Amino acid sequence: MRHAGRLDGNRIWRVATPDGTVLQKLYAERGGWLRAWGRELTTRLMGAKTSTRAAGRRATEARLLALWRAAGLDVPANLSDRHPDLANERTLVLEDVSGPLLSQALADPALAGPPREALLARFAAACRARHDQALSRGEAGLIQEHGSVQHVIVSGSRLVSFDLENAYRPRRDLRPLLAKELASVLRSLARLGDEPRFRADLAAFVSGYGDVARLREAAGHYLQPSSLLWRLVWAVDRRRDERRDRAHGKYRVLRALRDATA
Amino acid sequence: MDSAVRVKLQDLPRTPLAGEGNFVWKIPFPSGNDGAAVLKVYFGSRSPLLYLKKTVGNRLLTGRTSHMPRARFRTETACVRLWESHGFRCFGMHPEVRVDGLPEDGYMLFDWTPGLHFREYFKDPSVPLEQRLATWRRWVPEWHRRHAIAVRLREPRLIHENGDVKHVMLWRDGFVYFDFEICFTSRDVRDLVGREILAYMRSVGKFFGEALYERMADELVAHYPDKTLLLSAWEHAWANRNPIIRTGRWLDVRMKPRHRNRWSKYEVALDLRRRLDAASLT
Repeated sequence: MRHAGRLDGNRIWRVATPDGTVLQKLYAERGGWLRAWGRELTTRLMGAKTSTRAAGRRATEARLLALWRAAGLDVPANLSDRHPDLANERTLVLEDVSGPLLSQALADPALAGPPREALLARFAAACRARHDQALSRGEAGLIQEHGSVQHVIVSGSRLVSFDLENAYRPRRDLRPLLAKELASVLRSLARLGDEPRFRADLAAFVSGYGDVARLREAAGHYLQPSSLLWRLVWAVDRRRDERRDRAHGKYRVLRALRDATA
Repeated sequence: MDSAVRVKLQDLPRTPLAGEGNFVWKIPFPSGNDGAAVLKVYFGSRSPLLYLKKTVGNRLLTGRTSHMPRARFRTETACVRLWESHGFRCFGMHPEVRVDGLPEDGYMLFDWTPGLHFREYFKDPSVPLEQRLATWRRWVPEWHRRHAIAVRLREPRLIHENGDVKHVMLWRDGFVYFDFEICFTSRDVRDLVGREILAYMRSVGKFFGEALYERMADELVAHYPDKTLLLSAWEHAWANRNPIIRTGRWLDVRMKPRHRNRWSKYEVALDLRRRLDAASLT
């Protein structure tokens, strides 16, 4: 009966309705109350991200889904208004987007050569379009806090981003956030295969992204941090990567990005 | 104009239908199904002291309506009207029939409804298993619809206080519900839904056995639309929002050996939680 008294994390269920299948997402606390409150307190003190509590994550996701859709970005539709019997103060009802995750599609050994490069280029172009909007509007909500190839669904011609329950809070300079998102995405890409394949995927990503200068700047933000705090963070990250010999460490993937955009 | 139909109790040929508690008789009723009706008398065989004792317990401890005869009459007739107003079939009532010799507001004539109780239908081996499960799949969305309305309206009277497979019937290709003498008074209807789900599923386990329970629980999780309402069964037993009740249940499950029984509410709640976890995409 361990953990019988708590849920510990979200649940997502597929539900058949007369209008088709939808997803019912239940937002639940992660860990016990002490851990949940500790995490929330830290987040609030740092002031960089939105609430980590269940209700806060639900509110953030609802807000970002609307924000992203209004910006013409492809995310699951929020169908909560259409399904009042399934939506409540703890849940959202979301479009059930069919198709594999981008990470699953890229992990398929049959996807190689030009089709693979085209898919990565399409993904990179979508990221670029979103980043353009984020920077021009100064909208931190358009930077994905948990960017990853695991958080994109390949549904035919659509590339649908999901998992928007955490976000950055508004700030003046969005470039460090952009660098974080890119680092997170590239790490998820590096996890899919060996070094040569990552290098090839990275080249396709850079080519598809188009704005090489912005990618170089993002890599530089991490590799040559300007502030003392960032230098410290970066030193810890680098030592950890080296100690664990991680092929997909932040330091290594950003060095690869710097090389690819040199 | 008085449109009441008057009959005399002493002239009625009566066939008893219930063992104890209320007097429930099958009586002739020319316009009823099979020419019969059911006369339920709320002033039953129990002593007034027992009614009073149960009423005190209901009102002060368990959050239920009164157990006094006239109160049960009022609760039942109000519930039947409420349920029927939302499209859930109950035994039809005949308030126009007055029975001389019985206290006013102490009895009601109901339609004789010769349906099949869930309890008998689901364990009937002559009905193919797939057909029984199809009936269950057809019933589950109706069950959810009632729960959803109850939560939306915060209406505890739409929760079946004595809900289990003994109190639902299959009749004329639909479902009929009965036994509404007592209902809950709490406005935490989501918790009451959880309690009702547990009561039904415990009775499924107790009456139909492990093998059929497994199949019916699988179908329940697959076809009950609002999984969070289904999860409220687990929350009712294990994660009540009220810390006092939560602590009470924590002690309850540890101190009473019967709560480790396979069909205890705690075990069934955990079982539903496990199934919901398995069905989750995360």
